[in-house]
Amino acid sequence: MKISLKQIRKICIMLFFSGLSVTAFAQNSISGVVTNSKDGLPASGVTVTVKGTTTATQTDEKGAFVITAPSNGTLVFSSVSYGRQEVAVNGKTSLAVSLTSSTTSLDEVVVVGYGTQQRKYMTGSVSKIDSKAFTSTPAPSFDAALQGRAPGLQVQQANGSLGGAVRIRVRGTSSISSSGEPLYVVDGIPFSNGDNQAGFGSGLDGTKANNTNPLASINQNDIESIEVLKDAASAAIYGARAANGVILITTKKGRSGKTQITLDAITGGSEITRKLPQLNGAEWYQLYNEARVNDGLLPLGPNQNIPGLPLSYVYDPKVNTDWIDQTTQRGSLYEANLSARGGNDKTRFFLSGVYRDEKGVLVGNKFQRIGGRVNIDNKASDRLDLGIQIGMYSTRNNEVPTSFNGGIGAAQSNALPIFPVLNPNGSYFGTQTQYNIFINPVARLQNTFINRSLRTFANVNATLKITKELSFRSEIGLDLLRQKENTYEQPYNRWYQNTMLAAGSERQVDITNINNNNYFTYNNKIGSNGKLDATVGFAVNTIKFHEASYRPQSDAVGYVNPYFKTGTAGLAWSPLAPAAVTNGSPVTAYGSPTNESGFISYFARANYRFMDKYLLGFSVRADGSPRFGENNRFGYFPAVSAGWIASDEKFLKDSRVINYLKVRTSYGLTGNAEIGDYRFLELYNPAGGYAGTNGLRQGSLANPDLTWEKGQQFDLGIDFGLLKNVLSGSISFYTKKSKDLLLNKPVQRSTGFDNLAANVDVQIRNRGIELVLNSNNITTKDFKWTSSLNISRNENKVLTVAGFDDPDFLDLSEGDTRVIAGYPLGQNYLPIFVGVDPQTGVTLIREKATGKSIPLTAASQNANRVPVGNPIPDFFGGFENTFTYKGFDLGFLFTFQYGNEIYDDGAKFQIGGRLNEWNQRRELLNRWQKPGDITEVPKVLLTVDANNSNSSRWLYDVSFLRLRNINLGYTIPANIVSRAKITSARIYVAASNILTFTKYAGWDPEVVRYRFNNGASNGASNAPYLPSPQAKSLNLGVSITL
Amino acid sequence: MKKILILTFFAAMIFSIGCKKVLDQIPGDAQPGDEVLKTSANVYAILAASYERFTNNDFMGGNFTKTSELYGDQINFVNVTGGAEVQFTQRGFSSFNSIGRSLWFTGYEAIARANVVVKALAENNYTDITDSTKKTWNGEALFIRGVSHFELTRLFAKPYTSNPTVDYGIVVRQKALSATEAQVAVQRNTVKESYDAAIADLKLAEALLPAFNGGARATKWAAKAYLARIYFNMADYVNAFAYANDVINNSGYSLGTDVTIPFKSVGNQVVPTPGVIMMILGDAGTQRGSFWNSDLNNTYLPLSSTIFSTINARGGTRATTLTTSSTNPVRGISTKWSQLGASVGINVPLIRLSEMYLIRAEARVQNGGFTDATVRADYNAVRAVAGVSADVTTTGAAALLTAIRTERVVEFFTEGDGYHELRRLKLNIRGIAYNDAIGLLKIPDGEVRANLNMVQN
Repeated sequence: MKISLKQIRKICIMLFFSGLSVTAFAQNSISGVVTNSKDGLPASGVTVTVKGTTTATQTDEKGAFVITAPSNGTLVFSSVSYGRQEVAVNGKTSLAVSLTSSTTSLDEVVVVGYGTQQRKYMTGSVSKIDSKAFTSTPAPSFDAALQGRAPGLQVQQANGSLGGAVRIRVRGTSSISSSGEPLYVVDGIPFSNGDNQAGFGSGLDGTKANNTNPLASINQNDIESIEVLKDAASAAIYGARAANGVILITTKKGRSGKTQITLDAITGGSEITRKLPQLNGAEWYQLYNEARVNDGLLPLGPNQNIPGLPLSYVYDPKVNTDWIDQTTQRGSLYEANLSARGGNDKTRFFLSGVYRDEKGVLVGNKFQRIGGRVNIDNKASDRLDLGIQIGMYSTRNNEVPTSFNGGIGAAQSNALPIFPVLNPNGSYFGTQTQYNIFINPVARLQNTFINRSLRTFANVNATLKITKELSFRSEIGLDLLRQKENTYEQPYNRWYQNTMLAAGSERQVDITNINNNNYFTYNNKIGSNGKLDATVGFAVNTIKFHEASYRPQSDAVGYVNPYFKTGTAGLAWSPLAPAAVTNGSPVTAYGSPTNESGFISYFARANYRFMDKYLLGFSVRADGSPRFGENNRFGYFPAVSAGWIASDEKFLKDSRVINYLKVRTSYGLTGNAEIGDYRFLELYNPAGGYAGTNGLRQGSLANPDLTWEKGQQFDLGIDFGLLKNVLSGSISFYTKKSKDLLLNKPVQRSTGFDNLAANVDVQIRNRGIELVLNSNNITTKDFKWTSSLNISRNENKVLTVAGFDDPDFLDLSEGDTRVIAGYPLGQNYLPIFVGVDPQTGVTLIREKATGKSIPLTAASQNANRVPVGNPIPDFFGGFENTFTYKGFDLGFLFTFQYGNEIYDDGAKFQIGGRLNEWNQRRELLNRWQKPGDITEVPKVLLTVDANNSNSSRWLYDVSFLRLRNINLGYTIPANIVSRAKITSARIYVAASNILTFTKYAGWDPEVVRYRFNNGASNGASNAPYLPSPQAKSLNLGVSITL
Repeated sequence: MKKILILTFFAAMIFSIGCKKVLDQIPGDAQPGDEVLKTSANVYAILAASYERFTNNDFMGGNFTKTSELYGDQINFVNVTGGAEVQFTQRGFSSFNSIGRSLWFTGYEAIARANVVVKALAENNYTDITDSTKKTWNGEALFIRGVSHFELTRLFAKPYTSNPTVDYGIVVRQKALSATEAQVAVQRNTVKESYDAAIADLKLAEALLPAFNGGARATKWAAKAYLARIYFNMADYVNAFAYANDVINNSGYSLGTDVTIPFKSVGNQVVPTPGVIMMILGDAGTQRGSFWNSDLNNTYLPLSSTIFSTINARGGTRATTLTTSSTNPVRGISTKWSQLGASVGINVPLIRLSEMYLIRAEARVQNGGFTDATVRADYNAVRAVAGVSADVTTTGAAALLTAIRTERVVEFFTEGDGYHELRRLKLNIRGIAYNDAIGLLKIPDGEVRANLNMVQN
């Protein structure tokens, strides 16, 4: 190329003028203050960068900064908590910047497995839930607060009992007999979230009908954010544990700047959302006598014993006990959180302490949480970062029996309204005999079952910057749980050899979960337009479970309490115990000494982006675990993903409507390793012996092929921001297939075995669509209104059943739920209820073959069962609105589900089935009485075969729209509070579940079956049996920052 | 940089050493299979667990006898109005029948455990036990396996006297199974194959077992006696005679002098109970009185009036000490299985010497070439114990057979013998043909659900 002199001159002139222009837009010193838009508090530690340069500074403790920038330049404010915001200088020399936490920002930083990513460039499907969802609310635990917060996340609080289980499903249920719960990871460390209470039937299961929630120990105020990894691109890095999704919990970190001390306190009251309408004493007695007449007996005369009761009793019209009132109460809540957050440019810290004391809506139910957390980060050198996070939480849960186990369950069943609470002599009614257990829940509630836990999370980590691009992080995490359960049974509730004798038991569980992650992160430009972000590493995880327990043998009586008299073998006795008893072997030590398992994992991930708009991702994990058979020790879980930021293409770049548009897709393999320990091994267990020799039997056969359940996940999504990002959101479609499900596969009994654990050809598909829309409706100086809607539809379908075509072969056995090809998991299998014969008053069902109406009998019930009901909602979600006007703020969250039905498994007994021994629901008043009566309730009988009266009559639509949370607050103006040396103060009123719209006439439409195994939790959760009510609450809170 | 790489290398080394430990875990409350079978004491414990199943109330310790009686015609069904038992009166069986389930499940658990013992002894050389001990254990396992096959076949299949090469017997299981093998669908073998399997096992057991093996474990003589029972049941009178004769002449057992002795034994047996070739130990769980319900006036399964009068007609101590009668209504009751105390498990005679005498007596007649007096001598020996005067008059095959069979009824009432006799003799049972499948329990659901092609009764 030839360059002429003329051209050179031209260039010189241009350079000269450009120099002039530099002079024209001179470098100015700009000072400013950055505040948090929510509370107006200074935002310290925010990085301020001049866009396009390396000039940068950080805001100090007052949120102030000084930086030199061109007057036409742009400043970029960024931090983990506030995301990224650009502000044009526009010639100003002082700026007041208000930053908003980054929930709706496309530039927000999202925590993913072993690292973070910028939302804009993510190719996976991840929902982030900000801490405001679970702080300053009365939510009993952070997971319960997730309801309605994220698409694809189905959250059901089992009931209103404190410390009780929350059922969470990410994109549906994809297992039958293994856990369907997601993997929880706290600050990078997977932690065990199983219910560790004594198993059903162990004799130690104080509240066997109600699972506890191990997540309830965590102080939700310590959590900065929660990320839900839903698709393979995001979750497959957790390999064999990712099939049910992954929930990442990140705790709060320190911030450099002035130490902020914050006190959050909330107090309030709660009550049950709705009371189940039941008969009163007179009504019960009237129907009872009517049933006698219908059965061809004479009605009972005065002073005649009511036959069939566990004790002899004559009806007394003066007695009318409302047992639900006796077993429920107004609850109360008091929680105080004190935290301190601060640091300098080298060391930052977050300290917190919590005290929570809660009294539940069920009599006797209490929950207490005391905990503390220390999170410290230190920049040891330019190359080395150190960090430690320690959280210790102690809980004490006074649990109460529910469902079939008594308490509120008995109040809606065996406790008849004609029974008094107390005998004339002041003792509990029913305790005069040894059969009181279920007829007097008040007496039974004097027993105690206290579950104490101490949970410690500790994570020590070091990150070494090897080069500018390459760093190495090593972390060791410890998750320790010590749980102690004590039961005490009152003497009058427990008889032995015709003597009232108390008993106590104790059980201790220790879980030691140690995790070590080591990984390299590499970040660099590849060529002029490419960027690579790669991670490679390995992890070792060991999980040890140990339990030991002591309890009185089946009928005997004893304690493990040194204050009681010591009998033979150093065992302790109630002083009342007859000598004959103390000579026996009263206390049984029980428990599986130790279960050990773990994972050895190798993982790698590479995200590549080209021209900042073409995105490619790849990840793979190899997981080895002693849970898998020798032939399948290691599983490999790859995932690929791609994305395209279309809005950065020329044709959209100038669009006024579309600011951001990304299409992303992913496919990958995941696994479910929550299959239990040692199941592939041939094991020998103690067995009955013969002629003085102890026996040993083959308890299980070796299955070296046994492996994880396999998941295949496909995801396609669009993320968008419209109208200057006033409206943003995303739509995702997914298909999740799980196969090779682990089941106790039936084998011919002539093998000597009933079944063996095997991966069988049972496939379940979850397919769905998720929509989330965030809108900043109005943003003015004084008034702000934002809305967020998420709505999800998940179709669950069993595709193959390994040849077990008869629905009874894969019987989930709870609540008449089944696994039937072509239907959702947990499909009900029942005859269709037609009505009541107006002539005879008997229940009619539809005959399968002919469609005719025939009377319901045990035989016709079995012969005419068909798949019926809808265990899965057609859609569910949440709708949230927040308003701020000057100092006032109002937020409310509606949650909803639509189209699903429950099978009320106890209704058949509560509405006519067990009139002779249970109280009945008020529906029974509409019973058929004489020929010609048109009603849905058949005539009352004492001889009805209730166990064989299953039908679609007990299916109920539980669609609901519920005001899950409402929060109204006022931030006291800074000029007022500053006089008291307070930086900010907010008072608020928070209420939960105060409005519910539903057709369901039972307790509450948010209901799941009691559960004590995975099968029931996965497949029978829509078949509640004597459920417990939910709670609603109203609370007053205050949040003060010094 | 170098340092880092070296450190990483070392970390990886330590890590890979740790791997094996993480991946190989065994539970604390159970023993893994490959370790268990290395110890002889464990094999003995598995044998004990096999005995436990075999002698359990659900199998040979109770349900075998009860089921045989419910099948047959020697009891009064008046009190059988519900539960699993009622299906015997209606001859309408369900695969869910709890009696059928417990027999099948328990019997096959005994077999499966016996198979493990046989496999362990074949595959391991235990240096701490003598060869004769090994032989004994092996013989005991084979005995349990053989008898279990035979008795399950008798309860779940058509009789040998029908069409043994065509009729379906049971599933023959003579091998300890792997998980893969256990999942293979296996069809029922024929009746003949089922009997052959039992005979083969018992012949091996006969050669391996000692003459005495404690009072309540399998012996050579128990194996021989069972072979006599099997051959007799097959109507193979030549072999039946040979085995019965061998036991009577060479075992050294005596018939004893008191008919009640075999039914009143409690606790571990050190010496053989007079009259009993093999006794099985009862424990508190095998209170046989609980199902026979020998509570007077409330007896669940009283004797049929026919058999009660047959017993009384014969007279002697069997009528006076082993039966009684309720008063209102008057019904004969067997006291063979009466409870001895609240929680005392009585021992159960598995096979008695008197059966050998009656088998030999009938086999002599069936085989021909007998003398009347030798035949009479055999059943007179049984009568003598019961205080019944000797028969010196009966002559001729037909009359002798009648006398022997009547003696059998009187000797073995409520011991589960009558039904199998009816089938051996191809006689109708309560109105239906001896080989009609309608009279049989169904193969239980637990067997069929994993093999839907299983031939059902």
